[in-house]
Amino acid sequence: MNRSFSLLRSAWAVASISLVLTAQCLSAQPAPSDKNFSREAMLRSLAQKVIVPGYASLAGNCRALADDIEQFNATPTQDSLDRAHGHWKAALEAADSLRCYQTGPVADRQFISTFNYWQTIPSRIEGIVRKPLPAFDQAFLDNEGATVKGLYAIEYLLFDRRGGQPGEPPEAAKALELLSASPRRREYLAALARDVADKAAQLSKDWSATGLQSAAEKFAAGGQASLNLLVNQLTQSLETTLQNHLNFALALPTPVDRQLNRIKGSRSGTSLQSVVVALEGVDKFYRGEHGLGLHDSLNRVNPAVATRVQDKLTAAIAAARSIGEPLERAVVDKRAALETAVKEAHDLEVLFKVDLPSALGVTITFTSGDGD
Amino acid sequence: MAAGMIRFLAKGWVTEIYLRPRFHFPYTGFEWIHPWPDAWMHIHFVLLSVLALMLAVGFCYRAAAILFSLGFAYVELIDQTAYLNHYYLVSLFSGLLIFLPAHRAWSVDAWRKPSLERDAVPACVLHLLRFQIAVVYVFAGLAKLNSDWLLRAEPLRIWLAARSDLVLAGPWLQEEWVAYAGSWFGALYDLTIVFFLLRRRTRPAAFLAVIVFHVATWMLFNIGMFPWIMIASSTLFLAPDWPRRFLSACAVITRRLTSGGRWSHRIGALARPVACPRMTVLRRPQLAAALLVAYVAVQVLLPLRPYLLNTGYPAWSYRGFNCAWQVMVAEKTGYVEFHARDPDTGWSARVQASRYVSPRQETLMAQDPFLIRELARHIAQDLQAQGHPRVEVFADAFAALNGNPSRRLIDPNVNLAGEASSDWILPWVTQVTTNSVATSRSVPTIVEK
Repeated sequence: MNRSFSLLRSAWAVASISLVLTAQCLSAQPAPSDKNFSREAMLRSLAQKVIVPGYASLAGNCRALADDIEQFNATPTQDSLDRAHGHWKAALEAADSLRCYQTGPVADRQFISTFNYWQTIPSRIEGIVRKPLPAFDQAFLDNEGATVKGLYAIEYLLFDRRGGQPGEPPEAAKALELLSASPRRREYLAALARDVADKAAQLSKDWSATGLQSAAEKFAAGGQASLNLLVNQLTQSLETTLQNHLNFALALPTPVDRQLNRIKGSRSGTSLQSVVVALEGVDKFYRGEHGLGLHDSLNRVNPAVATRVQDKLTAAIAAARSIGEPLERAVVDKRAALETAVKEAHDLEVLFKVDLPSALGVTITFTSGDGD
Repeated sequence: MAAGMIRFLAKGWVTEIYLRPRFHFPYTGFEWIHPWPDAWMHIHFVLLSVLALMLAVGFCYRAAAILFSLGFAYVELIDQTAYLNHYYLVSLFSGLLIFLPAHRAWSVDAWRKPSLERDAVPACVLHLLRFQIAVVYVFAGLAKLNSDWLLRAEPLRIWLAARSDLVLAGPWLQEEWVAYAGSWFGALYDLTIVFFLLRRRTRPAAFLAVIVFHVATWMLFNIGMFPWIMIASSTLFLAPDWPRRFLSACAVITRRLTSGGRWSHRIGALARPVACPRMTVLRRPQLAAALLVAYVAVQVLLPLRPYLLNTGYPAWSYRGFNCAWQVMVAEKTGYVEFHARDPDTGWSARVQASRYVSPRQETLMAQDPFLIRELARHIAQDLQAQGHPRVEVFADAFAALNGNPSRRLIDPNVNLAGEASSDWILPWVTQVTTNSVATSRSVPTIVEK
């Protein structure tokens, strides 16, 4: 009896000590070295300060573009066309700055091609606008593929036709003349702009929604999985920018002016803008736009690598900006500047593929050659 | 292992690792080994699972051990990127089981053929298995005695910080002192646990430490079956009669619970030693001793390669890294671009590795200079067949190890398709890291799609 009692007493003692120790451990949260930082706080900050404003800007510019095109259709003048050009470029800039993060609602709703797919097929677009029917309603657009709709189909209709490019009508033509002469062309342009504006508005709504199931909340709560995905996406964006735009332009055989259709944004003269904005988009996620960003995460574990990445991002953006003119022109008369930009972007790509994932414990999935 | 094989099938790894890649990285001398076509590879894994079960219950034990060992070794030899330390351990154990009398008690074979049954086996059998476990722990501990592990708490700091979203423990894992404590404790644990397991007085606490340590690593890191294999293997250090004592205790409990039922008698009978002749030492003692000494020597010398041959930092150069119990000592990320050049025609191109290997293979290959050279040679063969008979292949390879800034892994001016020079892998220590990444050797080149 005494032995049983003694055993029971020992068990109670052990249980009590364990309970007290556990309570101590749970209550005494360690003091983080940077009180404002946690991975969840960083992801939340990125959602609120980079992604949500990014989609709001995209939605605003796409809506303004749709309105401009409505006005142009009502009074087709060079002024109204120029206004539409301005908002198309602004919408593209907003889309390009988000190109480095193509996950969440934009992927779930299969809207990626609306804003990023640029290899439109002019002959198919011409075929659509030549036919008298059907009406360009949403059902029609939903049945069509990415090669005849989206931001870059609008570019084809909104900007002058150069002529002499593979897959296009042979003669050059002014967009104003083509649009003024064809109500059906104008109708199609307006339908495309409405479609893009509606999709951008939907994405903005998705990201600014609140609640546990909202895109921003899921992104913030994703922890290491969200971080893995983000770093992979940024890396893929850098790789695409380098290989499919900068390096691709440099490797084009001469004469380049017979292959302008192979350079993204050459019709609107935005080929360089796209590169610079894509790099700046990566920079926004890295620095966090006045909030917490990847730099803060990296700086906590490896300040040397954090500084290295930051400096290289700055250098890559500066090198791209210093090209100073669209890639299709720079490849002819500013080749050295283009080569410098390629080198800087390549160095940055290596840092994002090697140093950054190694320091953050991120698993990188290479997609080299996948293209955009 | 039966469960491990099923897990392998269920996760789709058979397709991912063996069937999808168009190119595999074979081990030298085993280039003739190729995966079975499609469904047969899956059947191979199902059969391995069945064989593992047969081994566990001692049914047709010897045949099962031989077939499992050969079948598992075949799978491991197909592709070097599939190498994992615990698969290597399983290969060694399954090879040993061919020769060990693990079916002489509590087995279907002994039940079907009672003359097989023995109450005890020679002590050298147990010592050999314990030695194998000891080799894993001690060399894993020695591998951790480096400046990254002890003075920078790397790579543990990176890995723990990556798990900072864990409930309760998460915030602690970001703390630097936790990484240091974990690193030092981990090294100390690996170096000493075998000695504590061997001593009778410290054995219970040491075995508890084994369980706690490996369960913690299972919770924190993605290391598959390794913790469970090590926990199960550590029971070899318990007193040899522990299974009988365990069953006796079970019999007592069952008797109390069922007021002396049929089951308690059966369990009790199983726990009692059987009256049977003692097992003598193996039939050809000299040959057995020679084989034993050779095996032990190989098991000691293989992990000693990095130290004896002065190969530099094994995690960097991969010289003496595999089959050396360099367990969890490196967080390494690599990136490689291949450039081909035909000196006869002046043709040059960047060759996409993804044309030949899967994303998983590419990630692993980019860390290992020998695999990079292997693929470079394969690319050269491919391009030679396309009309570039004297093609040269160069690699722009970078790697970051344990949170250190990235450095060049391979001399970019060495033609990897040609005769190997001794210094084609750039050393870890002599490279100066600057704020600028070393530039690629040639930009731009046409990207081969």
